[in-house]
Amino acid sequence: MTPALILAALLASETTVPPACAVPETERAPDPRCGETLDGRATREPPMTATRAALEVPRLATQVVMWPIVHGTEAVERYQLIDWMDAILTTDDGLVGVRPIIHYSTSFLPSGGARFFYDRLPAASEVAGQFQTAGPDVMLAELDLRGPRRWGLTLAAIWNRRYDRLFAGIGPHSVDDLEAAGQQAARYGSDNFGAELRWVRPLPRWFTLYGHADLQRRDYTATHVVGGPSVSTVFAPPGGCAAAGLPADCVDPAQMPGFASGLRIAHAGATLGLGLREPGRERRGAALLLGATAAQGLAGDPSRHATFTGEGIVAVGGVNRMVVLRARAAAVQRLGGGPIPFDELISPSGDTGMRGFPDGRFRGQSGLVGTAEYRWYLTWYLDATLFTDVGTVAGPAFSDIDWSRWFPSFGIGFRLFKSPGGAYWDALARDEIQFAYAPDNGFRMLFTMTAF
Amino acid sequence: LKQVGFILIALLIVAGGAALAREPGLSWFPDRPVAWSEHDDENVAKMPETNNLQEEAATVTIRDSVANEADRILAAEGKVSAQDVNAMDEVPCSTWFCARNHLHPLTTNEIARGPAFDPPVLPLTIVKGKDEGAATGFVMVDARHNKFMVKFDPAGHQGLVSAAEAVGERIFHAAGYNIAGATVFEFARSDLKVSPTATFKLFKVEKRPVTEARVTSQLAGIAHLPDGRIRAVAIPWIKGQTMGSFDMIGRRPGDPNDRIPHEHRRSLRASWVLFAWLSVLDSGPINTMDSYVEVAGRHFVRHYILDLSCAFGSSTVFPQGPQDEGEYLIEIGRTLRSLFTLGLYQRPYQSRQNREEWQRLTLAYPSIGFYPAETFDPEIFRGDRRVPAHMRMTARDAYWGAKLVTSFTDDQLHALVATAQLSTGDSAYLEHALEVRRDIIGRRYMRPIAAVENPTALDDGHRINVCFDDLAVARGYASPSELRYVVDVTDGYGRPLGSSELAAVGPHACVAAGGPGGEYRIVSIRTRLADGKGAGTPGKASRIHLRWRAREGRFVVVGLERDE
Repeated sequence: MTPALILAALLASETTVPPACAVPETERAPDPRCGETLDGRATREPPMTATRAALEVPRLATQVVMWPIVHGTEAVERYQLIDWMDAILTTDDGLVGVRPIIHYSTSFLPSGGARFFYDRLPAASEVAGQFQTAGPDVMLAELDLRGPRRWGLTLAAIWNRRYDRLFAGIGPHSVDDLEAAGQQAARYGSDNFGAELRWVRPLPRWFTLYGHADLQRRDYTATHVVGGPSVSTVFAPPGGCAAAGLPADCVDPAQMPGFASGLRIAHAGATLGLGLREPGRERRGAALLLGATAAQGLAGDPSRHATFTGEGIVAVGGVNRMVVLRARAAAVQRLGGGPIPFDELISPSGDTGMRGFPDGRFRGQSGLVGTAEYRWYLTWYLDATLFTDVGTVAGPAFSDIDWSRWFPSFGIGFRLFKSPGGAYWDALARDEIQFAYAPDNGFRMLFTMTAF
Repeated sequence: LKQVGFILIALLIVAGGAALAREPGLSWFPDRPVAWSEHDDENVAKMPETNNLQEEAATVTIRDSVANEADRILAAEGKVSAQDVNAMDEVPCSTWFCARNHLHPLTTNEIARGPAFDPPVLPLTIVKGKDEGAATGFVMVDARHNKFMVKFDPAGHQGLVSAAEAVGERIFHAAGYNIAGATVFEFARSDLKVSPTATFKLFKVEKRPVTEARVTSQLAGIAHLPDGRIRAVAIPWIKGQTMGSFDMIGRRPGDPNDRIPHEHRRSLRASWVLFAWLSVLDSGPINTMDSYVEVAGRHFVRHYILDLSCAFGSSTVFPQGPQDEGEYLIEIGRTLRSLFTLGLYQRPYQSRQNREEWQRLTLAYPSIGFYPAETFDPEIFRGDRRVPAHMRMTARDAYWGAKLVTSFTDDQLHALVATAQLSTGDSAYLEHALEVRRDIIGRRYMRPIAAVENPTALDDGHRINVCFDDLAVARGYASPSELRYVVDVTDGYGRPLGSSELAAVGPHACVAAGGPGGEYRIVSIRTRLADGKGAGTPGKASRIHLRWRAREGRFVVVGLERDE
């Protein structure tokens, strides 16, 4: 009998010893009730080696770090917080609901809010919308009424208020250029109201026609801004507002045409798309978009111009690794006697263009952006993207383009996917986080997330 | 008491000295009858603690795939032997597992019958909604008031869930695990009533009545037979008081019968081999159930494996994707490797061939989904999440798991697949895939380790021979012409008594274990398989332990163990 068994027997005698244990060992099989292992041998603990001893500290540290994560998740699941949120934010039939959304883009105030949907309309029509805010300085509200799919019509109403919008002059000005001119990126605010009708019509083969028309009213302010100096400070008229016959806190109309009066304008345009990219996650292939939009000032607004856009995309590879090349060009052409409002100029910077630069950093009558992306698979619900964007702005119809003034940016992004079921190459992109660096601007982070 | 203390100290010194003198790393087996019962069904007067693990999938995923995995690696625990193993390297009967087909082959009728339960008798009454799991279903009682969980196949994939449950449950039962059972049956919508008290949990939290309209709406999204009838799988309610899941690590608090940490149970560790064979995606504690049962006046906990509806090519509501059986939900190492190599590192499932096979199989066999046969590689199979017991599976445990899997004959598989009532083409493919994957498992896990079984000692007083069955040869996973045995005999203290190498001649072999004398003997047998370039490197050893039985004047086999 081994010491372990003797000890077990002694301990067992204090409590209850199964009658089976009283039978001599040689006449019965090993029995865990008698403190024995099933093969009858003594249990051996693994020896404490130097390696094991050395790993005890990181092991303990890992346990300390993981404890709140595991137990926090457990609390969320135990109390069914996500389920309750789902239940509270969705009607019983699942056709009406609200979902949280957050958005962040460096240089601007982070915003949060909710998107909602109302799917009880006939013929698969839908009312959807979203509301995001960062307090009274940022209000983004959009209400979309989508008609039956075969109509392809959407009617949208939009209110977009931001008091942290950015303006850094017109033209391809670097930070050094701005500093040399005693300027810098400045802020202004605006309340934009609009109603828009969008129309999508698939055409034979791979073509799609997109139409749109809108009415907009934009009112600007330089007195209440956040995130930096006001445009009234940086882009004031030479000699001051009084000398220019303008009220206090004014902005030089030559540098920011249309700011003082605001904008009352209507747009109408069409885009022809050629889509040869695959659906789902792969998106391999090519696409071409060519569009034109006419703008006409209303209620005394003298604006009259046309905007032409072109975009080409080539994606080579597959879901595992892909190279995407994109070129985008846009130009706005004056049609009437008035100047083109600063807010109607081409601005190729921002989350969908030159990602290392914030929206509004560059403005011009024409603009170009070239993007090269390398995307690769990390796991079925995640991929990574290395990207470089380069772009610039120029005068009318790309005149005065300074080929030595291209503004590059670089970055990495991660996209989350959700699976519609089945193969990973059919997963749909959902949320994205990107980190960009531009030598002329610094680091930026772009992030959008929708919950469940 | 003083006397006992002296005896204890003396015994400790003697035992310690003996242990130090013995062959390093190898402890002796006592000369005792082999344990074939774990005796873990003693009466437990008070029902042990319950849990809600089945509702904590994210917690279990993070806990087991990150926290527990980091802890396992940093603990540097090495290969730890399973503890629910007897002296013949088998798993004794317990409330967890009781060997069936691999030790006592079942007839095709027995294997097709599965666990005993009465199939549902129409009409059916819905008494509750199905609040957990992805598959569409309801809790129903039949005309005899027997309670079932009834699950349906998704539209376009008739048989996807029902076949997986019906065949999967029977296989686990035949292997020796506790399962509820499952039977495929058909009924018309008119055979289905809704109890006025039936409720379901909307969004899993808000109790709502189950209405006819809801039932109709749910049934609209499932597969129907050409005549409009509905094919479903009925899973009988587990008897006793259910107590939540059993975990794959640690022990259940309050259950004195639960003596062995679950991660050290071979029956759980090696269940991975069955899960891989059947391509079950979700094999963790989420799909287990403990029940406090009463048998012959005793109350104890019985442990069940549940929900095999994501077996074969099924992901429950659609076919498995190529990634489903090739990737855990959380893959820190692989994800970082992909990130830092800019995608040059690729998982096996990302290959073009795998993609083409997925497209071919899901199109050809919508009732089965993506369940590859010849290209199956158990080494790269991965379910949804890392399971602590599976992560501790050693080669020895895997060999045992492979014994379970390879015990299923072609005839038995034919009988099992027939219970799924699939079309001829789908049945033929499922049967083929099960056979091919079984054989791949057999070759993968039974060749690297000497497949020594049923050892006996022949001691004529002058010469000792040890004879055994070679299961790899017997089941066709190794050919005698390519196999040689490398035999090393020691005296139990590490002193060599002889070595030899001999060619295999068939499924039964005898090797010399030296002459008489001594009290203990360890016969180590490794197999050397020709690898195409000549004789290969010997594999992992199986060791037969012999002990001198004085009263009979001969050596007897007292133990069988293997390299981990």
